[in-house]
Formats: sequence, structure tokens, C-alpha cells
Amino acid sequence: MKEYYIQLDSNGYIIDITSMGPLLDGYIKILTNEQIPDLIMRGYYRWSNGFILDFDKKTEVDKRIIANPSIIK
Amino acid sequence: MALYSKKLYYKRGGTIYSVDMFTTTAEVGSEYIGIRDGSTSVYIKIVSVDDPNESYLRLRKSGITKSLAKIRGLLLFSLNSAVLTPTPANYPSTTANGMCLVGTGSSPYVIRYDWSSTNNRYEKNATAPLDISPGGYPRVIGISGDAQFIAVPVQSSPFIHTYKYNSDTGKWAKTAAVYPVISTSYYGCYMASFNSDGSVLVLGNYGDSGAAWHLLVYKWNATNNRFEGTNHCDIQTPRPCYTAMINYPNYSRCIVPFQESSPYVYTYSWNATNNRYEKHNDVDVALPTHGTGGWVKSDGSRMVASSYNGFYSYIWNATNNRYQKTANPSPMYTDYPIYISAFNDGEYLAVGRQAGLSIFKWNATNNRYEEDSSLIDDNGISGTTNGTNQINCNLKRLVITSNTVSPYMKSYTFNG
Repeated sequence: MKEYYIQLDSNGYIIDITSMGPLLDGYIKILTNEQIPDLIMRGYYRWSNGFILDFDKKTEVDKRIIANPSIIK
Repeated sequence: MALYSKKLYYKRGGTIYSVDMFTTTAEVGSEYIGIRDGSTSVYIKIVSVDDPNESYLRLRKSGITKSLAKIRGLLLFSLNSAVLTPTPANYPSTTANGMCLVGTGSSPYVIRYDWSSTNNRYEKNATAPLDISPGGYPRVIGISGDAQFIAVPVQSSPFIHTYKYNSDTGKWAKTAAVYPVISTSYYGCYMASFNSDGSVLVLGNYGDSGAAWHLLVYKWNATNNRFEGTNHCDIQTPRPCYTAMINYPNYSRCIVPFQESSPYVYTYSWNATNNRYEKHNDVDVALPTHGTGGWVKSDGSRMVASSYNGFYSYIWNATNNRYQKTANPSPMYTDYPIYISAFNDGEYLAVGRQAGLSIFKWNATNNRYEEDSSLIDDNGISGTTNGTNQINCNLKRLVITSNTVSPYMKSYTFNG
């Protein structure tokens, strides 16, 4: 099992992950053998003994990103 | 009296610091530094004030105390006097000797500001710095560490204009066009990144998805008076990029944040044998969205990559041949903190945000960048996206710009 530190937003979605310590305030330690999901910091994954994708939240977040793809053209 | 039995105390960021001093005058108290002549003492005393950086200089004579002045502990970034004739500008590029170049929307398109020690401010130089105008609206102008070379990325073809300093005229003279020319681009090049002597020029090319070359690498060929392309890199980014940055002062590492596809950033090491950048393994945790800017520590041991949602730091892991993510900076600003300048080789980052300017300090214990608002007493230019110095510099001055909101330019001296 590999050790990671994750940070959740107020709704329980993962907004940060690192394999490097220390364990900081606002972070929790998890152990997993799972591959870290791509784009895990977008805020639509939860942690419950595994990375759980919330499809509705993903749709909402992806729409927001597509609607505002760039500010520096 | 022993040496250093006196200390000068000053307060900065709420913390009291002391400087050892020695004197033969009489003691006037442990929280004071003073000089007494008869019944007259001039002394500094730290008192509780709302501003954590202030102390008071006081005069006490014949039992009566008068405040002479408030004095301030030296901030790490101290605001300079207002820029003389500021220009609406996207992004500033500065040099070690204090010169600052900005791109603007009208002729001559690139404007030079010189640092005035006398007036503690940048002042516009009336002479156009380039012998031939690049036109367009220049993006992040590259300046080599020795200021011999300038590269001006623009939105329309030919996308990049390069110049070499001519000491006879005091201007930068246009060189021949880069070779091969950039034939395909959608939004043009966005940023030019040089190494210290200008022998290597790296560009990020926002080519359309069919364009193979997003990372462009050129070396100076003095015989042909132009920058010439190498075979660039072994693996190009899958999608267009705005920026490509090399570590300073050399070019052993390169980071290329890119758009529209995870992991949104590729990183490379220079392979001298193959004369190209060669890609590392992907970062262990992808950026959450479009990669935009960044910075690489001079030895390549740490890098920062920014996206619209924030900036993220990574530490080099040689065993895994990749950069590994650290904890997010604290706080995690999400208002486009994508324009970053590094000071003291990344010990401090000046981060331009839409809401203003923030200074972060690397906390090695916590393995992350943490904002320290006591290091600066100014919030940049509010209500705009604050452009900061060209990335990869370790300079004594920080310049920020806006192309929409007055005062358009501000500058700070880095006292580190």
C-alpha cells in the first residue's frame, strides 16, 4: 500500500493529493494501491477506501472549464 | 560595558528582531536603543501599534517625551516610487541592471524603462529600444541574462522577432528571422525564454492541434546572425502551449505547460549528445486544468506549474525520472495566479493574481509554498490580472503591469 495525503473541500471532494509529507493541517492520510485517477484535483472525486468518481459533479466541472477555456489569447 | 550589550530592536511582520550594537552611553532600557546627553535621550521604542512593522523614534528631554517619527522595519519587497510615465502593458521583462521592457499596443510597441536610484523609481526612456518595431501586441518579451539578446513574441506571423544589442547605437538590432521560420500557429508565440548568455532561445508555440511543433528550441548562430532550430525534443506536447520555460541560468531543464489535455504539463532534460530536450515521465499528479506558466529552480530540483485554478509545486525524483507533486500552496488562490516571478532561486515567489499581488515563501518543513503577507505592504494593482516579471529571473526588482487598470505599472525592490 502506498501512502498519500489528500485534502478535501467542504463538500468532501478531493482538491489536493501528494505523496510527500508531512501530514499538514487540513489533510488526511490514506493508503491505497490504486492508480491516482487523472485530473483528481478537479474536485469531483471522493475518498471512501478508494477513489470514487461523482459523475454529476464531473459533468458540472467539465462544463465550467469548457465555458472558460482561456484568458490569455 | 561589553560589546553588543545594546541592541537595536525593530518589528517586522509582528516579530521583534534585534541588531547587536555597542555604545558607551548610559542604558535607557532593554526595549530601547538610545543616546543620552544629560537629560536628553533620543531613542527608539517598540510599542504596540496596529501596523506590525512600525516602531517609534522618540526624543525625551527634561522629562518630556516627543515622538519624532514612525520608522518601519525593512520589508522584503518594498514599494518604489510611482513609475514615471507608466504604460498600459501586458507583461514586464526586467534585467539585472534594472532595465525593464514592456510591450504595448501602439508604436513603438516595446518601451524601455530605466531604474533611477536617485528617484527610487522606473522612468520611461524616450528612445525606442529596438531598431525595427515588431508591431502587433508583444507578449512576454525574453531578455537574455546578459541583456545581449531580446526576443519579442507576437500574435501574428512571423510570431517571433529577435534582436541583438548594438553598443554603437545603444539599441537592439533586429537579427535575421529564426530558422526554420514558424510556419503554423494559431495564436502565435506567447513567451520567449532565454538562458543567461542568450545562446539558447525557447518558445512555446500555440499552434493548432495539427502543428507538430509546440516546443521550439533555437541556438544562436553568429555566422548567420540568427537563431537556428535544433530538433527540439523527442516528444512534443499533445496539444498547443503558450509557454515553455528553461531553468536559469542554463537550460538543462525545460517545462512546457500546455492546453486541453492531461497532464497539462511536460518536463524535459537537455540531452547534449542528441542536441534536444528529452521528456521525463509524466508528473505523478496532473494539473487540474490548462497549464499556463511556471518556473524551474536553477538545479532543476523543484518546479512550479500554474493553471487557471492555481499554481502547483513539484520536486524532482531522480529514481522515478519525474517531478512529484508537493502539497498545494497555502492559501490556494484560484483567481488565475499564473504569472509568477521567482526570487532567491525560488525561496520566494511573487504571484500576480486578478485580485492583486501575493508573496509566497517556500516552507521546507511543510514542503509547500506559503503566503507571507508581512513581506510586502502593497496589494499590487487591483481589479486586473497582474503580470509579473519574466519568469526564471533572480533579480532585485519586481515589476507588475496591467493593460487596463491605472497605474498600469508598479515596482518593488527585493531586499533579500
